[in-house]
Amino acid sequence: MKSTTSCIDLRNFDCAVVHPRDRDGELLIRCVQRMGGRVVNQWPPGQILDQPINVLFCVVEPAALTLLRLATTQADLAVIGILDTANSGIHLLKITTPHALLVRPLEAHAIPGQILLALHNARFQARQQSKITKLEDTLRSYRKVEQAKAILMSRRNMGEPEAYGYLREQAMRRRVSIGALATAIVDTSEMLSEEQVEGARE
Amino acid sequence: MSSEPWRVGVLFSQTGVTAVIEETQLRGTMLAIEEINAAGGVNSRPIVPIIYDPGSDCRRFALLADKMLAEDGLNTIFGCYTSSSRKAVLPVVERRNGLLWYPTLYEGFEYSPNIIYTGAAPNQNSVELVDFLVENYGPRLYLIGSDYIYPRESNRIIRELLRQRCGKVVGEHYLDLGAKRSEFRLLMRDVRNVHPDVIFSTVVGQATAYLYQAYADAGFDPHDMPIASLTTSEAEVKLMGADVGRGHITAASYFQSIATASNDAFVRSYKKRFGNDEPTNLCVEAAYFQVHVFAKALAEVNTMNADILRPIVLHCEFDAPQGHVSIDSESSHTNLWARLGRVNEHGQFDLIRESSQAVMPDPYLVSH
Repeated sequence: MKSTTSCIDLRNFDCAVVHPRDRDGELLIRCVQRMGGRVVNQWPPGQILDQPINVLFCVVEPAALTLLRLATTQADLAVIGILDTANSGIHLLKITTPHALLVRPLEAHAIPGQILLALHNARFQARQQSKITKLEDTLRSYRKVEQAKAILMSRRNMGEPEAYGYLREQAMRRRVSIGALATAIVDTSEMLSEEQVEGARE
Repeated sequence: MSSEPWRVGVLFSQTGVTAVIEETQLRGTMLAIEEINAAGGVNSRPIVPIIYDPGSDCRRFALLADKMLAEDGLNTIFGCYTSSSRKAVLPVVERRNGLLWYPTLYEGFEYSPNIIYTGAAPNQNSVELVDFLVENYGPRLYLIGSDYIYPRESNRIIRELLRQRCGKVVGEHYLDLGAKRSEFRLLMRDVRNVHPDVIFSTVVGQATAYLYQAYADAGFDPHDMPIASLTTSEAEVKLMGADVGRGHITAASYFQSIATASNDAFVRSYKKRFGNDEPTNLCVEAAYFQVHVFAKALAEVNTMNADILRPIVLHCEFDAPQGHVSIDSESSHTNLWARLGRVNEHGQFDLIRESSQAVMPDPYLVSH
């Protein structure tokens, strides 16, 4: 049986803790190390991270805003915000939307759960993003195939099913996707008609 | 080395309106698992199926899939027949990062990084079928379907394909999945009045038999006006009777009658395991070969973790009963054979046409 602790095995994970090395900072670093993670500490926040990482713990404060926003746009990076109960950082959450949240003063037993959530949320978002990218590619190749079909129909005097058949056959023979073939046809056709226009000008 | 079994989820209805065909998929799954285990398992570890019965109820499909992934600690599920049940399970496997193996033809227009589709997409069955029907019987089609996602979506595609071939839909009716015999009898009156060239059926489940029987009772002749289908397999023909099914046409990647060495072996062991009068069909075959593809990929990576297993699955090839198949890495669908068959007096399909090689899946019909 898979236990829940194996889900937060941080071996092979590079983690950054963007936090001063006070009591909370030390507690967090030790906790991550106990789970097997490699930790680098960065303070003050700065604009970028010094090295590629998988998990970012970062204070939610104005000084760390740029860093946090950059981090949340990076696919598959789990971001855990650290909020101070005493300050008004909560409005910054809206802008930075980390994958999970820790509240100071930190308590060791609350940390693993937040790491688990952050990892899960970040991975889910990354998977959904890759699905969206794929679907957008499909949508684009749809458009290209339509254009290529129209070109074949007008230039080669083909009917619609014939034009589709030609595209399918050529793609199969050249072992390229139908979208790639259609793009090549559309691009070539555009280039040729531009040359024609330039030729007419000369 | 661990000797702990590989636990996998199996989710096919054993009760409810689509149980007849889903039980055959369950058998195909079990046969493959038993074969793999008899040969020593995967890296010396047996596959152990955790089987639930969702009872042809989409909500139960989603709940049980979630239970498997969240509570039972499983990563892989073999299951789903209807598109409605797949659509219900899809968000669950995406959220939990599981892998659903879906062994059923469907209407296309879907992509999920967490689903491996081993049944036909429309370009692998519908295109060939519509071409054949228009050429040989005429362009006027009468559409009869069960009332859920797949028939409506599939017919939308059929309508488009027909338009490209100057054909026409002359009737379109959807009946409840639990429709009664009498409703089909009533429909035959309209068919008589309209007199189409072909009846195109996307009726699934028990009601399939009612449609074909109502057709036979009305005295129609399949030579003149056949029923064409993507879902009427050997299992449904057995249910309605070979005399009733005779002469009607189905497009599928697989028929029991295919003459390949791997199909001979498959049919023989299926009958040995489940009885001599149990026919195989397209859904059994997909349910069967997908477990073998899974085992092949698993042997290579030795982990069920979807993130690691999936990239290997996406390049897997296998000598399936239908012929050599491979998973298409672009679409997560499968390169499958396209075939047309006509029911004979033994309830088996005589081959009318077949592709010269496996056809690439084009689930979004980009090239049509």
